[in-house]
Amino acid sequence: MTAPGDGDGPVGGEADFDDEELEILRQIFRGEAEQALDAITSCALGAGLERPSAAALAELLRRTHALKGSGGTVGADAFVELIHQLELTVTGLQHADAWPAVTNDLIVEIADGLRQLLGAAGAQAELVRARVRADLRRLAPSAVAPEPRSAAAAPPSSTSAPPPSTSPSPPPASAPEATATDALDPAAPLPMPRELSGSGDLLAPSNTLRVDPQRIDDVMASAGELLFDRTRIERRAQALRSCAKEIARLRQALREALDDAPAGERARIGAVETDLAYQATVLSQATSAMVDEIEMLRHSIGDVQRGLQRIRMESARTLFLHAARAARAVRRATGVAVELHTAGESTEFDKSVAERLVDPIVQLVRNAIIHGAEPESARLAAGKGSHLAVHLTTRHEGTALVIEVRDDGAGIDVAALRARYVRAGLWTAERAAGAADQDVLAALFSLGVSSRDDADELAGHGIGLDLVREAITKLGGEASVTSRPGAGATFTLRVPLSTAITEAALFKVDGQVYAVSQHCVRATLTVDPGVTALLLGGAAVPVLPLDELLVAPWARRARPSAEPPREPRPALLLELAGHQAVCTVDKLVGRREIVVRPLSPLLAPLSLYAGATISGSGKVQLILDAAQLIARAHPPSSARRASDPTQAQRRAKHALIVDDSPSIREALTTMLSREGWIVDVAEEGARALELLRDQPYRLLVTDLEMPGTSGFAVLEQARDLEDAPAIVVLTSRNFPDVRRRVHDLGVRAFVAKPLTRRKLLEAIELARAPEAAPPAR
Amino acid sequence: MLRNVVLFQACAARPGAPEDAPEAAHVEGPPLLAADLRAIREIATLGFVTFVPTAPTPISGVVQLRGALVPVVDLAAVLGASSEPPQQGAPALIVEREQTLAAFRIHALVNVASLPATELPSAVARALPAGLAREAVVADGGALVPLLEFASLLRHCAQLVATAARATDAVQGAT
Repeated sequence: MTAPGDGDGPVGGEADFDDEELEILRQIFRGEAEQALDAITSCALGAGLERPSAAALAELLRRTHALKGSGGTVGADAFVELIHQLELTVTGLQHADAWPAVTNDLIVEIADGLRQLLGAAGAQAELVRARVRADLRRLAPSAVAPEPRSAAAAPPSSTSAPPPSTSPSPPPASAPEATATDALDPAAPLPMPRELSGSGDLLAPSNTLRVDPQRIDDVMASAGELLFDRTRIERRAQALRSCAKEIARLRQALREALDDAPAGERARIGAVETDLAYQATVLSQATSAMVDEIEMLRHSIGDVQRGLQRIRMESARTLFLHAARAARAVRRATGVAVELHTAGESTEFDKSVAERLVDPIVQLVRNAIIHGAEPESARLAAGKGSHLAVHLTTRHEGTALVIEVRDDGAGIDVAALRARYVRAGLWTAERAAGAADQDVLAALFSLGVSSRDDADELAGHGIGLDLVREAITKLGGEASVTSRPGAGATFTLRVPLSTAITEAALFKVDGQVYAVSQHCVRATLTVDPGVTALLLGGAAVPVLPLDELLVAPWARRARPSAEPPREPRPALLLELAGHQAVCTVDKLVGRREIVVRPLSPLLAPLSLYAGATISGSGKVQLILDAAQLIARAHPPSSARRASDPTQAQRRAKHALIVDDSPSIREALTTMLSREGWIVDVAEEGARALELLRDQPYRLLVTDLEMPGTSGFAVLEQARDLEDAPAIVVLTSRNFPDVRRRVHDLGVRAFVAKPLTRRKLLEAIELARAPEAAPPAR
Repeated sequence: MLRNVVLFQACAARPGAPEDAPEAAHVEGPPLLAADLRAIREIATLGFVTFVPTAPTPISGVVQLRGALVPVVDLAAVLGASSEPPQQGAPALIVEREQTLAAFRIHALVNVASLPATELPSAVARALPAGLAREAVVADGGALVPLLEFASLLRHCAQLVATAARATDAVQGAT
């Protein structure tokens, strides 16, 4: 295994990625490349026989350029060489007078060939490459380099000596950029897991359909609208039932009147009553049929929603791959002999949930190894195997996904934890002595204290579990831990399979309806006025009056001296991660199934809200974040505030990666994690800005060219932050004007793709150096 | 150079001193404002606006617009007038920038016209929150009407929201 790079070899003899990391990276690159090739095809096809529009050509060239950077980083040299030729050729054609009619067809052919190359091996790959080269020559004969006639003429492979290090100055804009040349045999296929590998038949039709996730979300939203429609129809059915009851009452009154009516009128009134009875029967039958049809509609809507949810599902395999990578990295860093066992790989859950579970699972696996490690002699003496066993399992329980990380290590020393809580001023000695073991363990998730005495770059800061709790809470889930001395620890995460549709408790405050996840509601109760805490199950639970929290400024102005309520108020008992709070409201509305939608990016920093839903009448109802409500009911003690190390420690090595290329994000995460960084990722600028506003980072590594908010906008805002991070710019646009613009924004560290570990580490060092250092041009 | 603009009034009267937004500037210029037609996705009539507690004053709430959740910004409050409860049926300029959709609530739509553009006099520019207008259009009678920049407006609102979020989290100890 060798490191891909543009001439600079492995750092200190260590490769950028090991074999398994490279395999993961190449899987990600394959998906990214297929999408980009689809986009290239679309640009060409969209123009028919004509020259594509300037925007389409720009998009085509953006895609080819981005693929070069990603491909170079994962060592896909053969692919990079061809996509580079395509970029050069189209760049040349862009300004030519003529655009031959065959050009668009050739671009499509070349994109098809490149797509096949991703899954081809050996002689098949050679055939595909030759065909693509031929197409490139037909596209613009003078622009394509001659095919290598021998191994000596081919791009340097892993067996060839790396070329001497070149000057770091950027190449001229028109020159071909350096690409990965020392990584792999260019003829080698991209290694894929067995089920993804090509069958050998290059033209075999695919039985999968790739769909833009946004389209699925849109259909999901439309299906959600059906819920509102159903509610509206139910209301109308209810109105018809009321009408039928009223008719029955009127008939009764008519029958009574019939007895007192003059004999001459009786026949006429009797006829009216008979007609009324007939109409009442028709109405009653229609209403019953309508109710039945609503029930059928409810089933159909449920089927549609479940079907759509299944489309969004992915298996636990990717999650397991991330865990395996983390285990390997920790094993390498610590020397701990560990075996990772996984079960439940076929367990499926929503893609958005899966993405947000990666960091917590990686953290728990790291923790299991670092905290569970014992000397081999101790393990053997205890009758355990010589290797620490970490078991990662996933399974469904109803509508929840349950993930367990279990190790057979030393277990958590609860007595030491009690002492540490007291030393840190987080608990009083009395509380520590009186707390049950389970409560002591549960507090690990929230107190920012490690179960380990010493701290190094891998663990001991008490930060990891805090992050796990935060991530799981955001998903509307719960985390728990059990441990037996000498037998190991088990961390259990329980999250909804999907976050799109959920059961919610609805209530009214100040005339407005709000929702909170039913998952967190333990009970409804009433609270007397003036009560600030309730004794529930032997513990004092704080009361949070929501009418004080959720009040509009104009309402406050209108009733400045409003008297406090004198009557008992309805309330919800909320519980999450072992913490409780009682929230008083004006009125409990009831339990509903709601479609959760994200609030606008503009309002995303407002942490009180978990999203919003739309009522049957089309009004927006805000969904309150139960964790935030509970936190607001439990203000931190002064001791906690004084000693809370979480923010400072989290910031110590907390990095944010911003890049729209999944391969580059994965490569950067791997490299930075290996250096002990805690990494957050954003796939576009707007999300990066949200994260930067939410929390401090020590390092920001950002791409420049991304859809939506650009890297330049991220840089502009990041540099103006009160406590700005060190910034590294990573781009394939290694041109003087781009470097100048980056420099003018005060950024000194600039890395040209393809990415290598050495380039990244040097850039980080430069970015973190004192300001006196001269900026790099 | 002629610009296709929407002319509108942000508030019924000339804005007074701000009550809840001390950082916002007091508008001394004409109550008429302009928006480049290309910046406006549509002009809509607001439905029921759901108030968002803890949001800063200029954010009136959230409204549902053909299934999309759209934050409503009280343009008058951004420019220094005191905020009022959102009224159903009020006109709003729907703007989409950098994947963020927002409804800027206005008092009244006046006209759509092609008018000559010019640099905004510094005295008028200074009266607006920083960067919200750099140009003006010349209305009938020669009056200069500030041409609002909605990208800057959205950034300004995002900063207000972020500041409010930090302040709320700090007060409530929820971080």
